[in-house]
Amino acid sequence: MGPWGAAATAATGRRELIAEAERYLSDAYRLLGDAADCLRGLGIPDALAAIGSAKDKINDAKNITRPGD
Amino acid sequence: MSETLSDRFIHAVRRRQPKHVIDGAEYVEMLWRMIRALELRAIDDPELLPQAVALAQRLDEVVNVALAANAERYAIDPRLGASAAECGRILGASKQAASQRRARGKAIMAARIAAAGAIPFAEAKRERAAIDAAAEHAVTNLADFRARRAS
Repeated sequence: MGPWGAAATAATGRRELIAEAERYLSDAYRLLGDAADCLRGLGIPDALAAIGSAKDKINDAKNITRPGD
Repeated sequence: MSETLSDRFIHAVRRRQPKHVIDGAEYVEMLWRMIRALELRAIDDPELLPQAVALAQRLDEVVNVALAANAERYAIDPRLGASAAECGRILGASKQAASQRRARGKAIMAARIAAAGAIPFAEAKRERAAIDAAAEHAVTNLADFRARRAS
């Protein structure tokens, strides 16, 4: 393995960690959707709006971490 | 047509109709990630061992309930579900084992429908009770470890 080996491994590790983080962010997005499904129709629109903005923030995080951007 | 056991069960345990349908395979992948995270946590905290066993038992219930519900749907219209024998085949189970799972699944659905009718938020309370029982079991049986860790 040449000197690039460790750097390449680190880069792969970084990419994989980011990909793993994205999967967790997607999980959180889905669970927020489940929470919204529980609350929908109960007449508490502020809670739904807050969940909506949390989902937007998750998308922001995914856009920031996405490799190659 | 009278409402089937599985229809009443779904009505009893589902909170709301989901707005977005999440692909089943994606949902399962999420659960696998959560289980991996639980595994790492249980390595650091053996008090979670009974929680892992309780979850394993809970997953076994999922198989029984899904098999029983499918068999019931199949009996009404073979296009609506897989038969108990077909479910048994994908599980690698004998016909007799599939039949036993079907009976257990029906009993679980009936018990949870009854609980939903008698107790508000019965599902969440049932889950809380199982978690608390597992936690208590861990505390009782890991007293020596707790004492060692604290020293």
